[in-house]
Amino acid sequence: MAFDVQRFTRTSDRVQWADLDFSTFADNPLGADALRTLRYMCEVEYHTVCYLRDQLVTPSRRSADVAAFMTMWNREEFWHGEALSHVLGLHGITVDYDYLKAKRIKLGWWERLAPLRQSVAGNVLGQDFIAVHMIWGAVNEWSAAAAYRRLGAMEPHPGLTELLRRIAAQESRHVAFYATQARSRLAGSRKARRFARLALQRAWEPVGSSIMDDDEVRHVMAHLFAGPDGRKEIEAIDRHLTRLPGMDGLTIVADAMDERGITG
Amino acid sequence: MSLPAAVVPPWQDLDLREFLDHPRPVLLDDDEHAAVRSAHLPAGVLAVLDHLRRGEQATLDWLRDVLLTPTQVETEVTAFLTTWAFEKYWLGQTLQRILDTRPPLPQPQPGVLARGADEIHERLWPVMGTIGTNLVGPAITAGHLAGALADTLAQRVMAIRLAQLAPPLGGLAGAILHSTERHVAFFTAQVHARGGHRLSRAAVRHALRRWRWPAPRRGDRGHLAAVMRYLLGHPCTRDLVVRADSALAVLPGAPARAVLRTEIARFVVHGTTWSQLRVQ
Repeated sequence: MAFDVQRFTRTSDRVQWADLDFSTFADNPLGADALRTLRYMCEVEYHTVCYLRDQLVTPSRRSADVAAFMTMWNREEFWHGEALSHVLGLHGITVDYDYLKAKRIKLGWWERLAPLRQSVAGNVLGQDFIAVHMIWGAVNEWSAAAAYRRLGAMEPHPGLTELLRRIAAQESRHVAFYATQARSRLAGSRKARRFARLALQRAWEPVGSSIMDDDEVRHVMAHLFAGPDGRKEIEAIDRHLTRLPGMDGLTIVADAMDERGITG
Repeated sequence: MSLPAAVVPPWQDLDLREFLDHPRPVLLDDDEHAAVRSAHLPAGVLAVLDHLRRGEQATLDWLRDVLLTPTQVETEVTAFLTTWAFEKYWLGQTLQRILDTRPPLPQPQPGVLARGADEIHERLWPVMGTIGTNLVGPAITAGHLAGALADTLAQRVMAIRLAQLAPPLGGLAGAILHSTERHVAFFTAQVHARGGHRLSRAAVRHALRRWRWPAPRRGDRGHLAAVMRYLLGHPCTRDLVVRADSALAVLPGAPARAVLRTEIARFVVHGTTWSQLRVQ
């Protein structure tokens, strides 16, 4: 089914949480593992503008649909960061702009040169790069939606569960856009299929790996996806991926978990 | 509100939280659209609207050029730009909706040189800009913000002139002024806050010296000149521009020359006759 970008932009809104009851945190706060995972999620969501930067240097920017989507996506993801920051704040953990700025500075030259690398790839592949961007985005958004669903299922706080459900619902709309675009663009170009497959096999890492320490990545992946229920989510993401043109047989998300020793 | 005075809105401390919480996208309701649709709009006004539309729809071009520099670590600025881009997207959509009800306008095609320059910028700026600006360091941000302030003031001048040329567009112009007054407040406050550093002042001076009237990079400069002559070639523009230039002149590091007036002179005084004919 075609994704209606106009409808998406008309209905795009910041995630709301003012109506949610977080008062239970006073007597029943989240555990250390959940807070560490939430903090990871919060920082990654705030970092979206830098992921946006990396895509703006590619041909994706000049596709009107993709440009409209990215404008809304960037704002929605920013507000996911704000919402999670609010929950962390209720537990005495501050993730504010000063902290995030210090973190971005600390990432150093490798991260600052990301647009350069991305731009070279975009120049080499031309319009086919958009397909790679789209499938990459789809896998990341499938992962993000699965992560929010898992955390919501693991933490029995009605307010938090509802907040995570709302965030996951927005992530699912992002998935719909990316997957629809990826499907049609991959179907139309053998070069795009080959490069996308190669890129995913060689370079895909769990969302946040480029900005968070390995220990944090491992902790979050183990916290959310270890055990049979977590593994089901991982395998479901790979199944979604293999339904896209040219991606049959790929198990990149399961492989990334295996590499980190996270098993079902 | 006196329109000329509105070029530079009264000083306000921008509450970033309030800005993020309550965006002001420029949207006209169905009745307002119907009124604009039924109004007679001269060809020159439509050309100006189209110029504005193309500028708004090229917002991501500007965002790209800025985000690959050290400005990307400035979290307050990137938070602001997230909502700013959202507001500009909707202004572009509103202008598109107005223009969709009219016969299609001829789209000015850039010449070979302009296309070549755009292609070079498109491919090389991510390389040169990423490395060069990161070597310069965080001072570069002040230049971006000063340039963005000049862009916003120019946009406000255009909105006011549009309302003067075509009164049925008064609602649209008012919405643009309402939406952009917080942009002016943010950019102004940020440039002043960074003014203590010598390199930041140098970046402001450099940005304002090389400032060009806001236009999509892939535009035809001759067509732009014609649109600007039509919109700004009236004596009453002078007061608007002087007010805008006064706001820029007090920025730390601002150049001695009047920024907007110098740029307008390029179009209005030196604009070419052949391009003027295209609009009329």
